[in-house]
Amino acid sequence: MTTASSSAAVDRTGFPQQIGAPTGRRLRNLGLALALGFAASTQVQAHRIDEYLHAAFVAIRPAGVELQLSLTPGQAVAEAVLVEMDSDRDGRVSELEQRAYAESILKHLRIDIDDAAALPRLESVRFPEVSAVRDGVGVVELKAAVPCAPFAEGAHRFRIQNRHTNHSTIHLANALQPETAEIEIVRQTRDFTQSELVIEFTAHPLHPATPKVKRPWLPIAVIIGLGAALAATLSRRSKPARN
Amino acid sequence: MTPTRSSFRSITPWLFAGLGLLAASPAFTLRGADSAAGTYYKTQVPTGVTASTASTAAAAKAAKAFLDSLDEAKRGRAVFTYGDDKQRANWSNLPVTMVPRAGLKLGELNAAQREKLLALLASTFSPKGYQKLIEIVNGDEALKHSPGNPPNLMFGSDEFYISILGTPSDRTPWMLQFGGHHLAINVTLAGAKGVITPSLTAAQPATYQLDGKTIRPLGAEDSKAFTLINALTPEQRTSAILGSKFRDLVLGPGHDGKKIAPEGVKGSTFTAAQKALLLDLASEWVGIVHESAAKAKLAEIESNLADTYFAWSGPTTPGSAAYFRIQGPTVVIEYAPQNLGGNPVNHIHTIYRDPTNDYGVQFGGR
Repeated sequence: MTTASSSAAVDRTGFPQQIGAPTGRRLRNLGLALALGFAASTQVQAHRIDEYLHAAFVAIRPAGVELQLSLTPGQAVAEAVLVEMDSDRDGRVSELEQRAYAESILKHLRIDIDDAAALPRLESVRFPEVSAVRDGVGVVELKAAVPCAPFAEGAHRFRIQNRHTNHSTIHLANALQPETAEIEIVRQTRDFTQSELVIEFTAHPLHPATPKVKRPWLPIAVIIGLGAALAATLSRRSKPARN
Repeated sequence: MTPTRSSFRSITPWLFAGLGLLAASPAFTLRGADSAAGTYYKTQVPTGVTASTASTAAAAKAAKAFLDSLDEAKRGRAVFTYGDDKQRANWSNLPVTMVPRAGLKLGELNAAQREKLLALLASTFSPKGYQKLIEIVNGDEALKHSPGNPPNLMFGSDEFYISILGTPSDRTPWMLQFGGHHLAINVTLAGAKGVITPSLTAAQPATYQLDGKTIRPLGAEDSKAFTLINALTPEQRTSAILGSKFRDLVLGPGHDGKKIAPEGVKGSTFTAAQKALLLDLASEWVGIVHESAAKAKLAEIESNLADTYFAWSGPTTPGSAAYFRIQGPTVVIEYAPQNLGGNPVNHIHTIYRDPTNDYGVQFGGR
């Protein structure tokens, strides 16, 4: 679809069309009317206002699970969220307050690994400027480890439930692509709102061909072998030909 | 919000609807219509640029011509070093007042400079890609003039920024960024190679009228997706449809480097016809860049189709609000209707990423 270009009002160099110029005014007025008619039924709201987005990413690794949470309070809920973040009301969120807030978020999580409850442990938290939170563009990033024994070969199940409902929380929850072939995500199941995510995965044994740790001497042996072969070839070539 | 402002907002739509009806009357002349209706751009590529001429070499030449048209101060603001990762990641779907962009904005260019800029865009993108970008820019101008629009958010076609990272060249890597509210195109060009990942295309309104025509900047994406989901067998559709609501993009702005586990129906189960539909859908993003770069990228995606997934969330009736995702070894595309500002089908966010080559990381040079 293209905009009309036949009107004399259109700048032939491809520059801004001034809608409503004298020529074709009737048609343009109709277009304008339709546009306004559309707009009349729409409230302009270009960004999240009255919701608090909790986006969870779950990284499953052979020896444990890392949880990454991105928290974005919308503009209309920002003040209420800031009250929770800035507990001493001094207008800034100190490191202590950042950790306390992150810990309070983690308390809303219920995590099970193979049906056994697991407690997430806060590893790091990154806070935006207070002004960014107030503007609805600040994202709090936190990382937590979920301690567990290394996964034995076979099928496993990780479940996370985020029960944070203050400030109209909305959720996204996803498993991250495993960084190693030892973990294979089989299925992700969520409830409708994504406040709950179940990840079924399989732990595979370390593939004998991939880990270099099992035969650390192998690459060196190959290099030495290749070097010896090359030296032998060069040595043969340098000898004078016999008649 | 104060009760007074609330009351004002409640009558505003009716006020504008009334004005709209008046404007439709042949006898009515809307005073100041020029300024009220806004600044829109033609969607056809400028004279002299065709699909066959858009290329990295042409883009580099046009970029130099654009930069030469600027005075030193403006050029200094438009150009960044190729290694400037902060600027590279400075993009968003949000209005420029909320997430300030760097570079030069359209509104501060004179006519000759704008002409050079449009020529640069037309030399970098396919005609279809150029049209899509301009329709998104024009859509923001329509949004600017919508009733209820908070003026402090500064929507509109003047609020789109251009920046160049590195030195435009037909050989060595350089980058072009063009974007603003609901648009973030990050093109990295390196000789014949070119990628536009990560890039965000979005639209609000997703449908608007201009010069008596209905414009849907992301209409083809929407239509092709519904064609594909409805071309799947019931078994495939069951695999494709995720049983939860996706309220936003999973890998939107701020999520560089993240790789999520794929979900949905696998391309290895697709017939040749279904594969063609999937590729055709992906081409709406891949095909934004100039033809030779897009062709190479599409061929790469096609070669990985067996390991590519298609996921869906929402109704499958065309015209509904539905989220979908295409995810393969070298591509992630998401399309997410937004529950903001009324009807979700009229407010769309999309993202296009290459988990192996976002920002042309494979091209080196940084």
